[in-house]
Amino acid sequence: MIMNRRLRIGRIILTGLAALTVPSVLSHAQELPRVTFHHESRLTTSEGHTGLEWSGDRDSLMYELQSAREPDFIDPTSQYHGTDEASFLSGLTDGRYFFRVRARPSENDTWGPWSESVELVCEHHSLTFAWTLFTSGGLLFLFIVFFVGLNARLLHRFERNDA
Amino acid sequence: MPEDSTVLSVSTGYLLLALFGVMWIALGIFWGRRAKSLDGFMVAGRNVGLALGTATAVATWITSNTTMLAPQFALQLGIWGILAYSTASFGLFLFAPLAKRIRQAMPHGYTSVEFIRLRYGQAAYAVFLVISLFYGLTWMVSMGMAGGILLEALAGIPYAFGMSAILLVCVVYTLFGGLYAVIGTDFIQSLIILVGIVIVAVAILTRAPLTEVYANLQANRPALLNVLFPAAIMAVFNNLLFGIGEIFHSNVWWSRAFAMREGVGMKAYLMAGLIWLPIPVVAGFLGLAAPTIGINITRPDTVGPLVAANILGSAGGVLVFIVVFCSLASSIDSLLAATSDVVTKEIIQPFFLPNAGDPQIRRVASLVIVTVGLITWGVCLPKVGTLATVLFFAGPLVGSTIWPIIAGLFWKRANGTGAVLAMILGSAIGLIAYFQIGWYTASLIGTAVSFLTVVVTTLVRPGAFDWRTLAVEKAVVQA
Amino acid sequence: MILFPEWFFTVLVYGGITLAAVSGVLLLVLLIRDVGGKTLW
Repeated sequence: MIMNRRLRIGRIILTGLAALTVPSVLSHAQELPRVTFHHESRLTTSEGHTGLEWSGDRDSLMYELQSAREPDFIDPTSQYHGTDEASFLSGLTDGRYFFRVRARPSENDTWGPWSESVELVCEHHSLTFAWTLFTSGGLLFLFIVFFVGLNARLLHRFERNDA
Repeated sequence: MPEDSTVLSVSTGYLLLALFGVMWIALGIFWGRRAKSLDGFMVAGRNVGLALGTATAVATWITSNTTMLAPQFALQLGIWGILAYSTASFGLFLFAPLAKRIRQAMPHGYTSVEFIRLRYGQAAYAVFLVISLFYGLTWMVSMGMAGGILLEALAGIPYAFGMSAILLVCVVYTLFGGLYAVIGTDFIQSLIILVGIVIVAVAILTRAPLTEVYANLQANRPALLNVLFPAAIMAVFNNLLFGIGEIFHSNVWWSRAFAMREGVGMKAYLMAGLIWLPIPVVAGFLGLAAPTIGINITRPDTVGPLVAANILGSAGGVLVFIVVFCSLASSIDSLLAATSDVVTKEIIQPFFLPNAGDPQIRRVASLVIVTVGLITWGVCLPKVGTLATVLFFAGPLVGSTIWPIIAGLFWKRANGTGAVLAMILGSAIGLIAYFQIGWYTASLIGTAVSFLTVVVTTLVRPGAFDWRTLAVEKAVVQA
Repeated sequence: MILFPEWFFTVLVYGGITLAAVSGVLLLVLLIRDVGGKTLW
């Protein structure tokens, strides 16, 4: 009878200890690295390029940057895999692009959760406006070439005047 | 692979800095033997031959922008970006006949400001002086800052030290050697730059053949191959006109026109344009090849050095360091010399030392170089980020000088009132356009307004300039 | 989108590299001619 009570007290103490320690052991395993982007969640570009910057909640993390054309990342592309905390993208055509990033401490660890996604709206300048500027600039340039060229051929006429 | 590792070790960086710094200074002192007279100091005795004349134009026009910005341009705006950048060579081509005319019309001339003063009078002189000094100083400051930033990014040399070292080296050898030193070092620097980028480009091709680069771009960055790329298209002529304005007005180019032997100027500038043309193409190629090589680009402005280091290892890092140092030095020394010439001859001499002889002016010129260097250093030191963008304000300003200059050189009827109005209106309206519409319109509008003003004023109130006024022999007073 | 054709890109890059290399040689040749023929300065 005394043995049974000791055993019961022992079990209660053990259970109590377990109740205290197990959750913290579990939460430590849950401390996977989180990543956040440095900028707003909606970016725009009229030139098809943008720089993405992010950081994890600790040093020396390996990152994966993923992109997709749909907000639910149905058909994702892995853009970058490494330790850099930025990536510059360019040459994008009109449309919406979505990015997210995740991290892990090393090759063998599990990935942390994905960051909040960033949306990039790419809308190139009006082509008509571009051609207008191009043409006017071109005309102005041609005037200069013409004027300089013409006078270059007639440089000899100054020799008499400069006597 | 740690992400903030530099391409070179700090000790290698300091070593290279010291090595080349000492070399340029030694050459400056050596060549300075001939820079005792004012003509020797400011215009290299007016006897520079074709090789050096060409090389100095090439080297001076290759700035850190050419080696660092061209890859960035290519990465952002693709093939059009490369083509747009290359059009800056047209400024050199078009200056060729101007160089000939300048030497012919002003056989005893020293500066571009002098030309404007003689041709158009005091009002134009004042406006043009402001534009010239603004452009000269902001260019110098942007180069100084770029130097500090690059040395820090490449080798971890602290910004303040790197920037100061570059400026100090340039001030010292320009001080001792004048335009002789500037041009002589330019020759060496242009060779180094040409060799450097060819090596890097060929090395890249062995790792990433062109078909692969093209395919990669087509798959991942298709807009870079787009002929109908709006942002690039609208920038082309704006940049072109900016470039032409820079070259046409700046005493950096005029002083060379005065320095070159008779008959050399035109050929030198034509060849310089041709030699400069491929450099942004090759540098731009570095930028486009980066993704194919598998390099993650964190910032577009460091893609050039990153690629070189990736392909050639630490040797690539050393090469980039040297090339960048050369491109910076070759521009800073020219600006120092040219700006100091303007301040000495067009501000100090007329207002403070009107009766001074050449030897005294020569001494003043030295003092001015040091002062200009100090001012530049002072502005560079706080490393204000937005300063580099101030250079872009110069776009409409220098664009507005194009037509007053070419009309002034060739058109007898062009008059002072027209020139003043053209520069002021062009600058003002161009700047408004910069802020209201966008940077890609500023030079364009500045030049257009100036053009119309010059044409209208010349037709409405034509002058009748006597070209001989420009050829006035300076009164030689021996102190 | 109309793309710059691959041959254009090829000509541009190879042409650029060749021109840059030739230019270096040209400058050296000119210098030798300048020094050999007349005074440098």
